[in-house]
Amino acid sequence: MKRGLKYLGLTLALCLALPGCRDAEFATALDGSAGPLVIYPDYKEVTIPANIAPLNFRYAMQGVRQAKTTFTLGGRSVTLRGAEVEWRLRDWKTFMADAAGQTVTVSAEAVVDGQPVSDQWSFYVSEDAIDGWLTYRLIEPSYQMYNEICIMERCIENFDETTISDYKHTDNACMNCHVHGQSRGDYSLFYIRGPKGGAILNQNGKLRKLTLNAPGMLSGTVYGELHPAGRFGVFSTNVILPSFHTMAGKRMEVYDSASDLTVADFENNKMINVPHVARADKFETFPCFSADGRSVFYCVADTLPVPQRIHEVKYDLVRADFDPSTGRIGEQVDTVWSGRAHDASVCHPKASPDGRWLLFTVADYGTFPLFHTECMLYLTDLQTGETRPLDEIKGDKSDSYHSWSSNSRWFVFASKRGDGQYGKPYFCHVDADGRMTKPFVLPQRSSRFYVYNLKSFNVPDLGDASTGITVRDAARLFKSPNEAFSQAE
Amino acid sequence: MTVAEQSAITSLQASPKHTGARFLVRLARVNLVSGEDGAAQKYLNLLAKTLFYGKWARSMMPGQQDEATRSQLEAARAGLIRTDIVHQSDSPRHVLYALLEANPDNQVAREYLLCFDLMCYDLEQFMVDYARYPRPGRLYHEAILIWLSQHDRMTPNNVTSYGIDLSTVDRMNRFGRNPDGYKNTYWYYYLNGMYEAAKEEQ
Repeated sequence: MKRGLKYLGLTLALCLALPGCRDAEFATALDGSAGPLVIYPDYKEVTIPANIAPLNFRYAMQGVRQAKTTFTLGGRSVTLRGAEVEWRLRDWKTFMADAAGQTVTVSAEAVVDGQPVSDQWSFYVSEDAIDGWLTYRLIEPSYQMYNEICIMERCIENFDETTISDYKHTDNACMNCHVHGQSRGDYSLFYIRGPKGGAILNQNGKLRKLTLNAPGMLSGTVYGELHPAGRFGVFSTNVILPSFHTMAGKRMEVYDSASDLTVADFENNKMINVPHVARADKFETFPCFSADGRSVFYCVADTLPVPQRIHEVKYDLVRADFDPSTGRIGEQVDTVWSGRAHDASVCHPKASPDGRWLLFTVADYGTFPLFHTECMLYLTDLQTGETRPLDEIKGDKSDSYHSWSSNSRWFVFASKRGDGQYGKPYFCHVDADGRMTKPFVLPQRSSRFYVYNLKSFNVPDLGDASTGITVRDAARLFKSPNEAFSQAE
Repeated sequence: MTVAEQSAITSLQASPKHTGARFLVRLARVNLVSGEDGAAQKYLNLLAKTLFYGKWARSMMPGQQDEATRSQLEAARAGLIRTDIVHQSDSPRHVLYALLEANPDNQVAREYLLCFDLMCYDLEQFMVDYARYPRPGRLYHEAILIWLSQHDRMTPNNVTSYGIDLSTVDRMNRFGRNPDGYKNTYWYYYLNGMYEAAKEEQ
């Protein structure tokens, strides 16, 4: 016992003496908050839903000591001590119980490099709740290879995270992101790739594994969305090529050498292909449905040789009728926002579930804005037809894939702001007039989570309930035969 | 820089628990040279807490670098490509030209370019590139001798004009009699390549 204590003491002494064991903040936190006390994640002056998990943060400065942070709401106060401000879930829920519609003020005091520093900020708690479930793919930001991918589901009202599908149960297969239909937890789709893979469709909790491909199509389905009524899905089929940029600071460029649209009929296992959205002289991609399911929005560009002329590939955002009884996309195409006229390129349109807004990403060119620092979100008011860039929420790096909450008052988007390499989910409130508030990053149990995290959150997608899909379901489906689809007459 | 970053991330993926410190060092370096301070800071923050790389990471942290580190980074930045080319990593010739245009003294890019030609058995392109970016070396001299003999220009004057010693020609003749004795030569590599290509054609 005595000998054990001696070794323990020696280990502790060594640990204290080694620089590797010191826990100090060396960074200036490039993407931390403004103000005398820099915090990361930046939760200063944000608007949050009342049902969000605790906003844990840390003082991201060197030499912070004796930090004391007091949260005040309607005469009630909670004080947390330490440079890492991390709530107990129960305390946070109690504090936020009647916070909706009110402003929480935060006063902070600390000693920084021996000098007392104080700061004060606030955050507003919206009366609009956000959908409680977020799905995303966790992947290292590699450009050509993958290893140990998984699709996760996080309850954003707390810190519970479950795995929907992972590499361990699917022979380390690649898997693509999970998307909800109309933000419904019981209606969603994701892909497991490879010979045993397929599109995993979740309809009212019933899971199917589908081969969404038929003779004559360019490829299996890639990007897409599920129809509100449940029978159809609209997808793109793409021949995707990755390439590198030579300029420092620019990273990867992914482009299509060909792309078309197709519609999958989940009731009859048919692929409905029509020639006017599968033209050889056009790249058609990123289709989505309008809220009423009677239109399809998608992106279209002139076919050009790539990568030689990739900088000239500019996608327009267009709309076509969709017939929910036959699954056919209409021939008449209306331009919603012309990429060519604005010398820009549109990606990832998504209609809000209330039918009012259309949110999309705009980059200088091409079809892969993830590493385009200039890319930003645009919002179209589908009632007035007005489109505006969302300058007020733009980060210093790319803001791309986004998804609406079912009440159309919140959306989540993937942003690489800060480090430029690792995508993180940011939430933003939008009011009835389309006004945005400062986005905030997904809260984590540890205030240092984003310091240590070396995986990107890919395609964050909001759902109003848990999908209920488990890795066992994914493993069972992976081993089971696929349902084949054939070309519709 | 993207290719360097890509290979570092790939190595990181392959390392135990995906946390190899040497690859984080590489990623930090790449991002510091590229001017991506946010990404560099992320990797340096992680390294700052390690035993063997902590001191280095703290010295490289943006805003805390000394004069010598800053000038070292500036020198590295001066050699970066200034024109943007979208390319696939399996066809590096244009990228290597761009690197050499930015910095003609970039010996690594020069070697890669010449060796890429040799590995593709493309002696015509090699001679064009060698004329622009000459670099003395045994393998290059061996390749030049093949090209000269293919074009019936194997004269002492031509050979010496490339700075090749005439004894290398004798060595080439000996190789012709006993190729297996010269397995470390470009002649052997080229001969095998041609043999395989002829077999495939048949």
